[in-house]
Amino acid sequence: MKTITMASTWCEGCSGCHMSFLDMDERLVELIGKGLVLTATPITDLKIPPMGTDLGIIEGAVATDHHMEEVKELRHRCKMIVALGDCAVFGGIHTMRNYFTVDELLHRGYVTTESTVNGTPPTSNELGKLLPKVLSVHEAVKVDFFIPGCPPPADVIYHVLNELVEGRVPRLTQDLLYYD
Amino acid sequence: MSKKITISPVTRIEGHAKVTIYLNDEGQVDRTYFHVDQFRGFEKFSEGRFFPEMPVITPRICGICPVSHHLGAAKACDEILDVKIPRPAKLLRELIHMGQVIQSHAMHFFELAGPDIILGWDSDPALRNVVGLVKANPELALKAVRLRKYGQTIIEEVAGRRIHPTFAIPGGVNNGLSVEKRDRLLTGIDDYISHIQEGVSIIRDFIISHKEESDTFASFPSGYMGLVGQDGALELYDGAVRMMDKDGHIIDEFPGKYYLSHIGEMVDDWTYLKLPFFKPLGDKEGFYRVGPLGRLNVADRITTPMAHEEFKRFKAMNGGKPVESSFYYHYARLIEAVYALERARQILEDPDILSTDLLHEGPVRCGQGVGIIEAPRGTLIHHYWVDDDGRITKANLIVASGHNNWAMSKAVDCIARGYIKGNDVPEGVLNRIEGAIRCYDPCLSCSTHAIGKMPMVVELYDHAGNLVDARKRS
Amino acid sequence: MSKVKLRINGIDGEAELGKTILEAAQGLGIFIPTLCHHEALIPRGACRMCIVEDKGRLKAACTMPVENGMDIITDSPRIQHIRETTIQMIFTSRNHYCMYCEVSGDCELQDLGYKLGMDHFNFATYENRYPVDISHPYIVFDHNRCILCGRCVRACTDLTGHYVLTERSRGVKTLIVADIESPLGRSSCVSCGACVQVCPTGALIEKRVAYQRNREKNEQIKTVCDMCPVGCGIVIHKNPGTNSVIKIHGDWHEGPTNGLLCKNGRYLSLYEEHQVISSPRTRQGTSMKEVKAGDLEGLMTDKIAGASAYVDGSLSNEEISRIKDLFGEKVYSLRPVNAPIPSTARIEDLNTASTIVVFRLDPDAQYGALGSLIKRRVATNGAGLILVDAPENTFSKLPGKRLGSTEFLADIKGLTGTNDYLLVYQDLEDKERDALRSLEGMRFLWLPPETNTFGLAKLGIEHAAPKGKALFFFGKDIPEVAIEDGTFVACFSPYENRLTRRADLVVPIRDGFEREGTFYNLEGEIVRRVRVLSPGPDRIDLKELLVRMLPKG
Repeated sequence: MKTITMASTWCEGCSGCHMSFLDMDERLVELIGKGLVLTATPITDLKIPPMGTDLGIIEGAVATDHHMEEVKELRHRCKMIVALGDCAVFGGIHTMRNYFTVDELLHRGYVTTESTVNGTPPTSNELGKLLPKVLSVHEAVKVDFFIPGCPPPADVIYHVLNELVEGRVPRLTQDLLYYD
Repeated sequence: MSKKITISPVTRIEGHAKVTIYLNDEGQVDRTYFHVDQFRGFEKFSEGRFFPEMPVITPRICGICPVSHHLGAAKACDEILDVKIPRPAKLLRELIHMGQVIQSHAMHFFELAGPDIILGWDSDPALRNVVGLVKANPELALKAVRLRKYGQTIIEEVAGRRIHPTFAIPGGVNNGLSVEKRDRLLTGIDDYISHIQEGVSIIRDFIISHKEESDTFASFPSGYMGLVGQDGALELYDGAVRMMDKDGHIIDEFPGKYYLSHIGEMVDDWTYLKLPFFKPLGDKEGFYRVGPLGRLNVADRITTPMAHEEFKRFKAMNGGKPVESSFYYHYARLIEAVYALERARQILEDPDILSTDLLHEGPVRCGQGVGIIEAPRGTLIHHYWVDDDGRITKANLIVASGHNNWAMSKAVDCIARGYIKGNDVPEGVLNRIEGAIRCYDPCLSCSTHAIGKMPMVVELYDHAGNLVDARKRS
Repeated sequence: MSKVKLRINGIDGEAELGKTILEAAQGLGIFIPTLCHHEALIPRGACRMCIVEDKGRLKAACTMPVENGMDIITDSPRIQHIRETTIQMIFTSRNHYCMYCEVSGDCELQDLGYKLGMDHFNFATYENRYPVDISHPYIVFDHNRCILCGRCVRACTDLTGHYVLTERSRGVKTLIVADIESPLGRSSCVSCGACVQVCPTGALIEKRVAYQRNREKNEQIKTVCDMCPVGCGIVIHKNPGTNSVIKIHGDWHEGPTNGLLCKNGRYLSLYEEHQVISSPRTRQGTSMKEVKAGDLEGLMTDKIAGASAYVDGSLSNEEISRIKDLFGEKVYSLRPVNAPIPSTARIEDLNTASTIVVFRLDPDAQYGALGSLIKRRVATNGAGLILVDAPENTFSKLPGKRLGSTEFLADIKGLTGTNDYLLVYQDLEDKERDALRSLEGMRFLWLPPETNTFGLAKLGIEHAAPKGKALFFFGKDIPEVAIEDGTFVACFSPYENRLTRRADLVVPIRDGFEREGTFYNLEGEIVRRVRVLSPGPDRIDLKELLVRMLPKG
């Protein structure tokens, strides 16, 4: 049986797309039975996908230098990159921060919010630095397939994975396309 | 000189988190840091939006508890309209809230934290996850999946979709419940209650058979906070905010809209997540815990019978004083899940649930609104300021897991100090440190209005920066 | 009718001269995507989605008239590429966040994206913010969602004659603005709402009903507006799950205004600010006691014999007839029912008259749809306008004469049969009536004071001031009346008013969307109003109650 290895990660997202992935419920087990192998994903413990993993699924937009490294690493290790959800595909709701400078955002969050007491934006090097603009994944690395939605319905995720597992290239037609 | 241990990332939680531990010359733990690495800016980019959009913008803070944000935002908008929503609308909102609590608590216990308890702290790491649970106890795993699915189904049937619904709106809700859907949701609910009771037995038996370990697992004094209803009843949808001190005295009780006088947030340089504290006690003594442990400590009773029975046993665990060990979060969490299921049944059996009197609309009447609600992980506060037209001029959010930030750092500190002696860092210790964080079921997406996951590496450096030891998790 | 010969997608055919390529293609059932095109508006060619090829040259199908010998291709790899690029450019020009947008699921831009299979952008993501105008009481204008199709501008100008909206600047700096860039809520906008109805995206939305729509089920019900006797054809959007009306749209295919509405019909009919009477009640001493619906007849029967009934023009023909059956000759109207000068023109004549006289009337406040027709006739088509005793309103924008009534009467003494004046009025003093009614070259359009004034007149009910020992009042809008102490007063109304506070018997009757019935419009024709919402249990069906009270046999 031909196997398709799959890794996934989340950047600037809310994890709703991964929850939608889990909302496939029993169909996930069915896909695993058809040859889908989960390598490094949120529900398994392997942390780094092996080189040559077939599918790299990315949820979330690219918003910090840490995210940029992460998507580049996944692009390097995976044959096909799939952008999952509006944030990965279009940039999503997080691009609303593009109207403001990073300083304005941090200033509101850590200095002027009414409940904050004597605050100042954190500066530790352990923390990722915000990029000036939030980007969609394919503004950072080449993406091979897009699944828009906020989140994409479990039915759509299932359809795409099933097509891939059965050796076909899916195409998202009207009733499988969602922007909300 | 000091040595530094890094744990990155913490797994089987939601969020990007990193732990760094500094050892002194004697190899004892000197300082620990719990770094949360994400910031998104909802409080800024909501400015200028038309306020009824907030119940649909804010769920995108978190895909695991979007309903909590959806309802918290709707409650803040109700205050802006200065309306009391019709009773049927309140029941429907509370119903999807129960669905969310059921789904989230069940998923956390059985699929995230559960493997440590059911399979053992030191069991094979490759199997110490939900896949291993399926192999070891397929029946139990199936019940867990069904419980999560049931919670999600309540949300789907009532609100239209599982993740990011548009249902609660300023002044009420935008859809009624049909008889058919109500009957479908009532079917089998008793089975789900008995499934969750099984989980309760598992955790209770584990605690009793591992009493000393359970009682001392990241156990420390703190304040506690949660919503309460009449006569101190546990409340998840609506109530007054109650604050309890470390000795179990109720030191404050206030309507949520006045939270600013009572709660402040500190900023620390090493984490994007702020640290809320109780202002009257200051930013050294004023830290408190929320979520299941906090809520059950401050409550005097639970309004549903089966949950109340278990609640009495829980309260007795520390001789009537507040239960302090972080491990007891798991027990409290499942008791709340029992309550959520019983309450969902109560609501479904209420005849008002089928009414079409679901909306009291109106113009903007108040310049501010505060929506306060108990998300599965703790107290969630949405505060909006609007101008006369209804434009959001400011927004302030304090999100559930944020209140527990101090406690999670403290928990990591406790475990680290208890187990790390010198250069040797056994694998089981790493898992226990993560386990301490897992007790809190943090949703770091929410709390930094963020989330993530990376490979885990533990490296031990000496003060000259030379790598002394390294351990990789695979 | 002349025809041209042309070929579309390889099929030879004919089309009428004067039609556009788009109309010809639609006539043959061929799909061409559009966004800025709208059935009720003049085509503009703004969005460029309808590009087709004619012998290799690109043309916009919506504005290009057909010509002999055209060879049109509506679908080719080149056209597909153009469409994909165009829609991506439209999306990325502004900020389209479908996930929290009020119209998601009901948006023409989104639907077109799905249809064309757009699943990513080849252009940079959103980074510029556009204004959100929330100043208007009923309308939100979010420029982030605007695609500059110009439908709102065309609706506000060509269609409704208000000339509030226009485009400012050019290229990517273009912005739709009101007046001289005023916030919409402080502009000359009269809240007719046509712009919101034609907007293809969520740029223009109804403010008070945001998110009340339920995506699963939304019912649309065709009926007639009952806020005034124009009787505009409307389509009501209802949420059956919450038993509430979400919004009211004009029906482009129904007279007399073909889709034009006004503030009263589109908005005020929904946002009733009066307090609803919650249940029937009767006076006992100094306090009121709730009464069960079934006990009402008992309380009323012995009072009817000597009583008189006073009705207003909100009642349907059926309700008025039942009241007459019960009270016989003693039924009177609370307001005048007769026209000082009966109408000699119809509403459609507003579209053709040479000069229109607006006589002591404020079409901004009432009869707004007719106000649109007048404005359109004057502003777009150049008819003359005379405003007599005009209040301060948006008609000051229009060219025309502004006169006091004495001046006007003096002015038109010389009117002859060659003139074509149409005078629109609601009330005339006796001397004005006498001066006007025999004028040649002057037609009249009388605007009755209430929705069913004509119905009252046709049923022989005359205006009289209330007097008597037992008075029964029926209607939505009871005016101030003087009543002697000791009079028994019963009030049947949907809303609390001055009278219900001192009445001895108060009965909540159904209103607006909760009842069906017929009324006479201002042209004297019967129109039917259908029931839209389920009434609450305490809302009494007046017809049924009166029928039950009729003597048996």
